[in-house]
Amino acid sequence: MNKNRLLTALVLGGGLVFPLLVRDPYFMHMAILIGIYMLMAISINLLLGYTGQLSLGHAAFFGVGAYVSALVFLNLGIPMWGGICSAAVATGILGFIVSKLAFKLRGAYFVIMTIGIAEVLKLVGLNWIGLTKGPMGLTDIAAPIISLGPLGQIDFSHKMPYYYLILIMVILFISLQYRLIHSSFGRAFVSIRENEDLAESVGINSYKYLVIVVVISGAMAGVSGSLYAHYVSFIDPGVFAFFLSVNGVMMVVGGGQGTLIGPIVGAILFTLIPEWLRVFGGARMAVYSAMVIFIVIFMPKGILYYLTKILNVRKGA
Amino acid sequence: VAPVGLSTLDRYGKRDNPLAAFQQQRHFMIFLQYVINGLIIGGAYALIGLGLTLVLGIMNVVNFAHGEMYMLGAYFLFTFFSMMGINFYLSMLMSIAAVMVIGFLFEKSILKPLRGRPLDTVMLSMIALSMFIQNIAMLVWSPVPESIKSPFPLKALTVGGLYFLPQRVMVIIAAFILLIATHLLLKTTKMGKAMRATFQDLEAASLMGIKIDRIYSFTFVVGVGLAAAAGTLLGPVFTVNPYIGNLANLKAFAIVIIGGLGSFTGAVAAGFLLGVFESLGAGYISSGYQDAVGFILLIIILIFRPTGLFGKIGQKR
Repeated sequence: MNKNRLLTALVLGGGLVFPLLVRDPYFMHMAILIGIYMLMAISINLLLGYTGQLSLGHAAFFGVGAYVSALVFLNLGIPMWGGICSAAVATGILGFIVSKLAFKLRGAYFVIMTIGIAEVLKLVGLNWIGLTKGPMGLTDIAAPIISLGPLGQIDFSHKMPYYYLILIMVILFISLQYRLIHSSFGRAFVSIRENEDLAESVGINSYKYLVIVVVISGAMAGVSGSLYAHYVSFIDPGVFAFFLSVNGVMMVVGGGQGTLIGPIVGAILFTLIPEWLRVFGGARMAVYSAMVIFIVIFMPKGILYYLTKILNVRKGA
Repeated sequence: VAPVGLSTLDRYGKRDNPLAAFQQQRHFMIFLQYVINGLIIGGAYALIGLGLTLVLGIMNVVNFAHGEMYMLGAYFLFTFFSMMGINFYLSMLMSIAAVMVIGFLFEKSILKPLRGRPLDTVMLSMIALSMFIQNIAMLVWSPVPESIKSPFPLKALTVGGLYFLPQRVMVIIAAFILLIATHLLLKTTKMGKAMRATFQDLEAASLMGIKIDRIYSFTFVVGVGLAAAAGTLLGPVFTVNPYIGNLANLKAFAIVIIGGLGSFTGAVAAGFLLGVFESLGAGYISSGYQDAVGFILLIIILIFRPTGLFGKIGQKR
C-alpha cells in the first residue's frame, strides 16, 4: 500500500512541476490535450471498465458538450464555468435518453446503436447551419479570465493556467471515479459486468444502474468536450468523429480497463504514439492501426498489466 | 400567398382546376420515381446488409471492415476496368474474387486467433483492421476521388413516364441474381445447410461433425464477397474514394438491426426499405440528412420493436 501511495505522490508531483521544467509550447499543448483525453478516457472507463458495456459513440457526448458550451458562450455570453455546467447537464440528459433507448439491446447491438447516435449528431452538426454554422464551425470560443483583485489576474487563454485547470479536473475525475467505484453503486456496476443475470437475481435492477452510469459517464465526457472547446477556441462537426470514440476506447483498453490508473496511462500513450508515428509520413495511420491490432490481440489486459508483470518477473529472478 | 395558377384548390375549395389535376399526377410520378430510385440503391444495400448479417449471425463477429470490402470492390473495378481496360463484367467478377481472397487471408490471420475472445476485443481489432485497409487504399490509390465511367449508355430509358438509367437497371438485376444465389446457397447446398446449423447451435453443429473452421472461413468469404459485389455495382453510380467504406458500414449496421437480430430475410427487406426511405428523405426533407435516415429508422424501430422487423420476440443478444 505504501508503495502505491509513493507512486501516486510521484505522479502527482511530476504533474505539478511539469510546466515548470518544460517550457516548450508544443509539449505544453500536448500535455493539455492528453489531460482532456484523460477525462474522456475516465468517462469511458466508468462504463466499459466497470459495467462492461462498450460504447463506440462517446464522441457524441464529447461533441455535444463542446457545442453546448460554445453556444452558451457565443450566444448568451456565459463564460466557461457556466459552459462546463451546462455541458454536463445537457450531456447528462442526452445520456439518459440514449441509455433508455440503447439498453433495450446488449453486446454488438448496443455498440452499433451508440455509433449511430454519434453519427446522427454529427449530421445535425453539419446540417443545422443556423445554430452550428455547419462545416464552417464555431470560432472565438474564449477562455475565461479570473480577476484576483490587487494580485492581478489569471488568464486561461495562456497554456500554463489551463494546464493546471486540467490537472485539477483530472484529479477531481479520478477521485470521483474512486468514490463511485467504492460505493454500493460501484459494486452493482461490477456485478453487472461479471454476470448480468446473476446480478438481477440478487435484486440489482441492471437497467436502472446502466442508465445511471451512462448519465454520469456522458456528463463527464461532456465536461471534457467543454474544456476542449474553450482550449482550442474553435470547433467543427469533427468533434463527433468516430475516430475520437475509438481512440478513447483504445486508451482504456490499451491502458487497462477497470483500473484507476489504466485510462491515465492509456491517454498518455495513445495521444503520443500517433505523434511519434509522424516519421512514417503517409503510412502513419496504417502503422498505427496495425499496432492497435497487435495490442488488442496480444495485450488484452492493457499495457500496464504486462509491464508490471515483466518488472515483477525481473525482480523475482 | 400561393402563386397564381399553382394552387390546387380554387376559391370555393373545389378541385376543378385542370392544372391542379396535372400537378397532382406529376407529384405522384415524382414520388414513384423516388421510390424506384430507392429500390435500386436498396438492392445494393440488401447485398451489403446480408453479407454483414451472415458474418454476424454465424460467426458472432461485428465486421467493421465490411464497408472497406465494399470500398475495395469498387477500387478493384476501377483498376481492372477503368485503368486496365478489361471487359466490364469480367472486371466485376475479378474484383469480387480479389476481395474474397483478401477476406480469406484476413479471416485466417486475424479472426482465427481471436476466436473465443470477448466481443469487445474482436470488435476493436476489426475497427483497427478497417482503419488499416482504408489507409493502405489511400496509399495505393491516393485520396483523390475517382469515377468509374459506366459502360452503359447515359440516356435514360422511359417506361410510362418513369426514368431508368441503364447502369442502375443493371444494379437491381445483378442484386436480385446475387440475392437469389445466396438464398439457394443457404437453402439447397450441403454447405448452406452446415452454415445454418452452425448459426442455430454452434456446439451441436460441431458435434455432428461440421468443421466449424471451414464454415467460418467460407461464411466470411461469402459475406465480404457480397459487400464487394455491392461495391462494384454502386462504384459506377457514385464516386470512389478510400472513405466510402465508413458510410457503407454505418448503413450495413442500421440494416442489420432494423431487419432483426440475425435474420437473413430481415436484412434483405431492411436493405430495400432503407434505400426507399433514404431516397424519399433526400427528396422531401433534405439531402443533408439522407445518411441519417437509416439511424432515425433504427431509433423508431428500437422504440416500438426492439427485436427488429423480422427478429423473434423475446430474443436478447
